Amino acid sequence: MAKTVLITDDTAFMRMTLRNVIEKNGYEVVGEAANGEEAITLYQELKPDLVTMDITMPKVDGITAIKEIMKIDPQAKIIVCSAMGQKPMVIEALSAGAKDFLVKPFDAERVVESLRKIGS
Amino acid sequence: MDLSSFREVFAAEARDYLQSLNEELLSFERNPEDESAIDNMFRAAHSLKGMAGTMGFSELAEFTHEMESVLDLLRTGELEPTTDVINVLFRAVDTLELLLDQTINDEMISPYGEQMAALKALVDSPRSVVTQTKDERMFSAELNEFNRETIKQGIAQGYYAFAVSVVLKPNTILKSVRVFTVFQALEEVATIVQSNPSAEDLDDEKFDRQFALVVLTKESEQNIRQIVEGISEIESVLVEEVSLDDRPEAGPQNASEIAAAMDVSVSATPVRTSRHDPLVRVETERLDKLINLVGELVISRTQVIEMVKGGESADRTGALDQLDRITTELQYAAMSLRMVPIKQVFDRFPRMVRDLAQARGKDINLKISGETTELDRSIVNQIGDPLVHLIRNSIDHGIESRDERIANGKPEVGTIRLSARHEGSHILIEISDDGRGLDVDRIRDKAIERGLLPGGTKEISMTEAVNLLFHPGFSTAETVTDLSGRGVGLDAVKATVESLSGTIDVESEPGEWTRTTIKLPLTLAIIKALLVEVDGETVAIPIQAVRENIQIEPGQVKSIQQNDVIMLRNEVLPLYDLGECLGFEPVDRSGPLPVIIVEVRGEKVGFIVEDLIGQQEIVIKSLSSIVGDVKGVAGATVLGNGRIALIIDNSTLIG
Repeated sequence: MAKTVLITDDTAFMRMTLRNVIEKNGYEVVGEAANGEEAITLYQELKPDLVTMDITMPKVDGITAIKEIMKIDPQAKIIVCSAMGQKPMVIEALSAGAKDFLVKPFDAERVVESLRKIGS
Repeated sequence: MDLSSFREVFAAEARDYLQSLNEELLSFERNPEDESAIDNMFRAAHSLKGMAGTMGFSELAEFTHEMESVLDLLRTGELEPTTDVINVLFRAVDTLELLLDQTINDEMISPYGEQMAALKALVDSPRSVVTQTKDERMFSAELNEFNRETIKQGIAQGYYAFAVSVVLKPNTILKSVRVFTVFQALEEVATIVQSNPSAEDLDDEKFDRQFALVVLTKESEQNIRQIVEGISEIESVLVEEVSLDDRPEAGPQNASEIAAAMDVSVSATPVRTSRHDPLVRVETERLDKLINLVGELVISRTQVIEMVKGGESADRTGALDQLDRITTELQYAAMSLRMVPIKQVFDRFPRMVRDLAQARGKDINLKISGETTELDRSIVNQIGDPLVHLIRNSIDHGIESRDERIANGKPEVGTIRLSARHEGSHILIEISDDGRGLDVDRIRDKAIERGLLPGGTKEISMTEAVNLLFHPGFSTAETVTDLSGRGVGLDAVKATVESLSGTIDVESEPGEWTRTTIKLPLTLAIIKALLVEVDGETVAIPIQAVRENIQIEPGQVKSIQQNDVIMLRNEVLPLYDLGECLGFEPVDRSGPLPVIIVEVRGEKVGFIVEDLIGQQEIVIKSLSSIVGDVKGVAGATVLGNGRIALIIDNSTLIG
């Protein structure tokens, strides 16, 4: 069965591009969250195998969301997505429990590599 | 990946971010303590950069990156938000808008080096960083004395000591963070004794692609390798046991060969389409409702078919009632898809007012309310320019200079209010300012000068003054600067409003305030019309234009210079035959004549018709392009009986 993915990003555009890559590579996108708050709710609802998590988002940011999700499910597999120049935040996210990180602009191969490595 | 299909989504979302940058910049300028504004700006710039980078729009990405850097400095307080800084940011937003449009439309990118340099100057100004040019450390994994001792003890306690040599993939972004993930993964099962380069240099990314660690662990060599291999962006891993007599392996010798063999993929340029804003955003709720109704319509159709077939059980009234209800709801649901909040138009004003006020050296506070009020998309698209006009007038001529305001005992800062609200099937847009109001005497003088009033006219009322303002002959462009009253092409504003079946009204208290009210129909697709009959044809007159209906005797028609006129309450009104105007047979004038008083370009005009039919909501259909624009005809509509009625365009009916 295809691994399920929850995409979290505040821009619809980013969610679309990620979904595109993810679905093309045999994963199933089961949900899209536009902020950390939605991600936390959807995580509990959908129990996805993998989560992509943007950092800078309105309401609840990615790092807080990672912490919350890790509390709910210490086994959660979260890939944090950042832009260049967000190093401290990526480190914080990884320390909070994110398993891998992706840097925007996304390189399709990198996305797939990350999903594969973290998902296995 | 091929992203061409996402261009439109990109463009729409990018515009939202630019809008939000503009808005937040304004609120930040007003209140530099507002951390949320700067955070939102930063986020908007940041998201925009990511999106642009993904689309491969390098100019946009590059420029936004620079802007983000400036915003970051503002956020951390390293840069003071002076007016200069804010102005640079505003210009940067403008540049971004231009870049976005040009990028989306595949146009030549106009030079933006100057704006870029301005941003860069801000980034560099607060902290002139001397870039450290430390010579690249040679890669060496020599264990220092202290670590040798640690390893020795570890081995004695049953740990393995491994040298883990890692090569990252070429183009790894955020190398230091990648290294961090390697550390993190290894630290779960091992103690990292030493790293080469040092942890500090790794953190500062002072290394190429290769680094080595010495770890103590109880895991096997293979497990350690698998752990590292399970991390992204790792090209190769070599794990070797450390013997204290030996130096750890300095990484795979063939690393550079592997790198050279790596296929450098060139991303294909996406196929570009150039269309302008073909996307419309509709709330999903509205679409759902529409779909629901269509579902009900299908059921209703079945009922009607049953009914027509004459089945005994058919509930005729029920089926028709049902159909009536559904189609009415469907009409509203479909109409609601055309409705957009007026915010779209209002959003551009804070920035405009700020820029203009700054240019004029005035302090003006713009207060906007009711921006969520919805109206028809086509109206929203057209109402912008008239509003710009009116607001400009308020800034240029309404609001006084600071000194003048203080001298008159008014608050130093002038206020312009822009509001929208629904009233029945109309929307009211109000623009008011607490400026100097209309100067009736000046208007009178100017009207005399323009020959609109007889010389020597003494007193005119406010209403007359307002009417003069809207008169096409009142103002021309070259007199804008020497007239400190209003009247900058207000006739153009009025014409636009009227073409949208709206009305415009100005009220003022000299020295105190001016208020302009624009009343527009919610939609242009369906209007209320007065149906009349001429020459056996039904003709619809938009109710907006109708002032009153009267009935006259043929004897009441007088003639002045061969033109028909009637007297209405001491006013002489020109009288036309609607049939004749439209090229039908003239109305038979033997009996009492129904006359419709219609406003045509601000003047009341009477039209003789054959008969009055009544008021009705009609759906406007534009005339086919084969017919083209017909003078005096705005379109046509299909009546309940299936016949077609022409809709009068009162503004062009008579020449």
